[in-house]
Parts: sequence; structure tokens; C-alpha cells
Amino acid sequence: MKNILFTVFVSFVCHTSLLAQNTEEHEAILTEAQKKDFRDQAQHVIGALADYVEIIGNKDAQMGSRKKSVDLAVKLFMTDSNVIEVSNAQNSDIKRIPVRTYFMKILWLPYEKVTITWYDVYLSPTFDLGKDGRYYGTATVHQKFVGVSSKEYGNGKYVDITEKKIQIIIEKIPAAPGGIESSWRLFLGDINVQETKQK
Amino acid sequence: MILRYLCLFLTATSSLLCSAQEDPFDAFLKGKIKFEVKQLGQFFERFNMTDTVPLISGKTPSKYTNVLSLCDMRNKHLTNDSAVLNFAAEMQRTGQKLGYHDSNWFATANAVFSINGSKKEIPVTLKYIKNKGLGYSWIIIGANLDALGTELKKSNTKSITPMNNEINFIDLSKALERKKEIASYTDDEFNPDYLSVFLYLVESGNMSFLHINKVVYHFLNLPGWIFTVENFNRMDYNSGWLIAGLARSTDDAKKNYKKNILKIH
Repeated sequence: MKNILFTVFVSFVCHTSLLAQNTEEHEAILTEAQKKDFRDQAQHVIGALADYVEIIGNKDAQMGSRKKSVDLAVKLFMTDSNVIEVSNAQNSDIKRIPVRTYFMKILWLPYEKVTITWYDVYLSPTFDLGKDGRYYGTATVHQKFVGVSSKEYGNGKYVDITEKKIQIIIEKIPAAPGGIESSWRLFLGDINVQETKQK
Repeated sequence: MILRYLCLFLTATSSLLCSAQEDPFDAFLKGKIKFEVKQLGQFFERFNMTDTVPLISGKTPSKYTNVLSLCDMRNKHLTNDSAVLNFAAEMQRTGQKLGYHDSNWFATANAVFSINGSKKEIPVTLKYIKNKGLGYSWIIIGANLDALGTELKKSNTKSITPMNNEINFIDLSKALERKKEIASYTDDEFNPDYLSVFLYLVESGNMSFLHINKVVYHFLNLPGWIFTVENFNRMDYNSGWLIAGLARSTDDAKKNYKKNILKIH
């Protein structure tokens, strides 16, 4: 009798742990519907980044709100150590700058007037699961930058067109202590910026 | 002929957009962004007809037109070659598709290194694989070290002579001193593994990485064809990730391509 009870108990424990494992495996996978939702969310997050960049560059806006926009823009990224890799169309010079430094550079650009326009966002058709359990995708966006220098510098106008490839990361956030469910969250990752050649 | 038609069509669309009321440059830029193949994923979408090149008529283009729009039209070798038209026609007829999870396609990323004060570009071959554990990854599977002049020279006349062991392998000492001919003392069938050499050079700090210069995708997965896709960064409707090279190919030619160009062994 004891043996039978022991066998039943062991079977029950094995079955329960398998269920837990299956549930965890199931939770680690995003459904197609969830991926679609995250595509919509990615559009919104990129839109928010575009708004922040526009404010950061806008010399007519208050310095307080421009600095606040730097903080908010950085918060969209997974970590402060995410970088923006900038390549120059004229030479092979490639610079890798931490995101905050990049936004601070925009803040202090030596122009009297700056206009930054972002055009349509193209999102990669899907997100693929990585070895680390996160999902990865890419957004491509084009930016037109117009900087006009002050009168004493001759009111010179500088225009460039850049293409930004923005890494999208969807990470599973474990449930908080006492919480019931874990959830997925979308972050921005590294960005590759390439200046569009004029010819 | 079709390519010439596409060029004319793109020019016509461009001028139409430019005649709109907004700033002509902005109108052109918006048109360029619409046409541009912005990611490899979009190249796949256009190839598979889940995304199409925008036509002035608003109609959905055929796969034939869509595939032709994915070619670098400034490349005369490509546009004058009837192989391109045959390729597009075959893709339309067979409805073949491309995707990230296919096998037998590769990327080469030209990594620039500083070695003894000079810059050297080393194409590193990568493959997109399904991991044994979770998800997908790009893995390094080859490195082309031609720029380093690392090709090992073999001479048939050199050898470590019989019974040399009895004299403390003096021939081996000579071979190691000669350096340049060291490969002559290996088996006839010996093929150097350049990937291991590359990994050693990076790991040991003998060369310092600077940046990635250029990425090329090599597609060997469509029966009878090899083609490459590169990024054309230019102020043109025909820009982005486009077919840069295309050729008919046998299975043997593909094997040689992997060995000699991609350095996969």
C-alpha cells in the first residue's frame, strides 16, 4: 500500500513539474497576436522618440523641457549603455556614442535654429526569438535635419538626411514579489545611423 | 528592356511627386523612402510579394516587376544581362520564396582591423541558425584572410626525412626556422582552417577591431542561381538592399563559391 502511495505521489510530482515547465516554455513564446500588438507598440515608441528628438533639437523650446526630453528619450532604451553608431557618408569614419551623450549633443548643437523631421517608420516583418529569451526586430526611419547658424556666422544652412536602424527588443519581465503574472515589455536597443549619400 | 521601362517609370513617378504643392525635396524624399528597400526583411517581403513596389497606376505589380525592382539598376553588367530577366521570369513562374529561416544563405561583414599600424579589411562569413536551445542566432562560420597574405605555400620537395627522429628531428628545426614553407611539412590533404586563425588573431589581440565597413548577403538557396544583395545608400528611388550580382550556378559551382569566396570548409 505504501509503495502504491509512493508511486502515485512521485507520478503526481513529476506531472506537476512538467506542467510547470510546459507553462514556462509556453510563457516564453510570444503568440502571433502578441507580436502584432508589439508591432503597434513599436510604432508608438518610435513616434515618442521622434517627438523627444524634435523637442531636444528645438532651440525655441524651454531648456527645462528639452533636458526632460533627453531623460524621457533615454528611458525608452533598454540600458544607458545602448549606443548609437554613426557613420559618415563622406568617409569611413564610424563613431559609437552612448544614447544619452548623443541626445546631449543634439541639445547643444551650435545652430540658432534646428528642425528635425522624421518620416515613415518601416518595421521588420516579424520579431525573432534570440538565445537570451528576448525577441528582436528592427525599425527603419529617415530623418531630415536642418540647422541654421546665427547671423554672425552668416545664417548658413546645413541639411542632412540620415537613415536610422533602431533595434527593437521585447523582454519578459518577471512578476514582482507577490505579483501573479510576468509580462513582456518593449525597449529600444542600439541604433545604427547612416548619412544618405547625395549622389 | 524591362529595366529601362522601370527606370523611366521611376523617373516619371519622381517628377509627379515633385510637382505636388509641398517642398519638392520633401516630396522626392517621401517617394524615395517609399521605394527604398529599407531592410533585408523588406527585400524578402518584396521578393515574396507580401510587400510590393508602389506603381503609379496603383495596381499591384507582378512578381516579375517586383523582382526586377529589387535589382541595382545602375549596375550595367546586371541590367544588360539577360540572366536578370530569366531570373525574374523563373521566380514568377515557380513562385519561390526567401526568408530568414532558409538554409544555404549567408552574410559577409567586412570587418576593418588595425594590424601593425595598417588597416586591413577581413570579410567575416556569418550564418543565421536555429539554436539547439532557444531561438535564433547569427554565428561566425568563416573568415577570408586573403588581405593578410596568410595563404600557406606548399612545396612538394620539402619533407622531414625518414629516420630524422633518430637525430632529434633536425629537419623539423630547420622547417620551423624557415617559417614561410612550414605548410610543406603537412599532409598533402591538409586544408588550413582560416576561421581558427582569425579567432586566434582576434583573441590574442594581434589585430584590433575598428569597425564594420560593408555587409553583403549571399543567396545560394534558390536552385540554379547564386545572387548577392548589398545596400545602395544613395539619393535615388532605386536604393537600399538590392541585388548586386546574379549568375546561373550549378551545385558544384556553389560548393566552390562557399569554399573560395565565403571560406566555409
